[in-house]
Amino acid sequence: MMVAARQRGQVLILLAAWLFFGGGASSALVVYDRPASEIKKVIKHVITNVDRRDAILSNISVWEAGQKQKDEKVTEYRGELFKTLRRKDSRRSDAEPLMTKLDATFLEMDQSFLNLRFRVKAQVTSAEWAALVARPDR
Amino acid sequence: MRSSVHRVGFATLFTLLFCAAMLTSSGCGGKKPTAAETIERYSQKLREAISTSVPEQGRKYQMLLIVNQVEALHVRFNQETAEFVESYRRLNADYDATRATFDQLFSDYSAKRVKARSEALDLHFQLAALATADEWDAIGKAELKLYEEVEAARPAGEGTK
Repeated sequence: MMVAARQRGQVLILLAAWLFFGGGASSALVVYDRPASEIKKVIKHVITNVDRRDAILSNISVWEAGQKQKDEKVTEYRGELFKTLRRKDSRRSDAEPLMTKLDATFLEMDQSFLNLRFRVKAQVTSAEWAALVARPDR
Repeated sequence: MRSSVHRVGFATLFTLLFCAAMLTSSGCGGKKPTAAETIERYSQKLREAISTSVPEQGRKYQMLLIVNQVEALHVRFNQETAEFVESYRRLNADYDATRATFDQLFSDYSAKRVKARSEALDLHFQLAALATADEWDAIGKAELKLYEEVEAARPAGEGTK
């Protein structure tokens, strides 16, 4: 979501070759940019208006719950894909339905991620946004 | 995404953050291999599985060439992911950036991922077709191990590009 603070600079590396490239865009950002817990921390620090702050934090919590459910689906589909590819006699057509399911889930996750990003942005000023996305390393 | 992006991803990132804060790797159980190191290491293990399991020079050679392509594919996709995250960061910093711009960025990355995955599957099935059933046991295991380990790698000490 927000941009990373880069005390993690050395950490935020990239790579993310998910299993058979099975992770979506938002997954890469969640893992490599900034975890939700850190986002919440920054919001608590930057947004001083209690009502707005609580509303934003609530939005993030709702998003997290939804992502958790989708993560569980991804884990299930990925496990099935793994089993399929482990078999020597498996065919591409055996794997394709699973990849279709994975892609649909990733799309949902990406849209949900961006919905949250814009929902949060709509509740903050440009100055607050700058503080939220500020990267101390730069 | 070993099990869940949130549970594992967040936990791993926090661990790495702690390590970075400590400015030491020894305190965190040793330096974690970078993605590049992981790709190299497990590609080599796959080569070893092939070399050990396949007696015929011709098939062995063909399979090793495929592993080279698998390795190169991982390296390329790593780079593409790094570029995506960097692009996202730049765009995200712009308060006035439009939803359409983000949608395009995500869509472009998704297309790259799907393309890379398709190539990976092609290589997977080429490898499987070249192996006998007996050989596949060790080779298939080493191949999936490569994918598992690379996706789980949380390299430290690198920049984002």
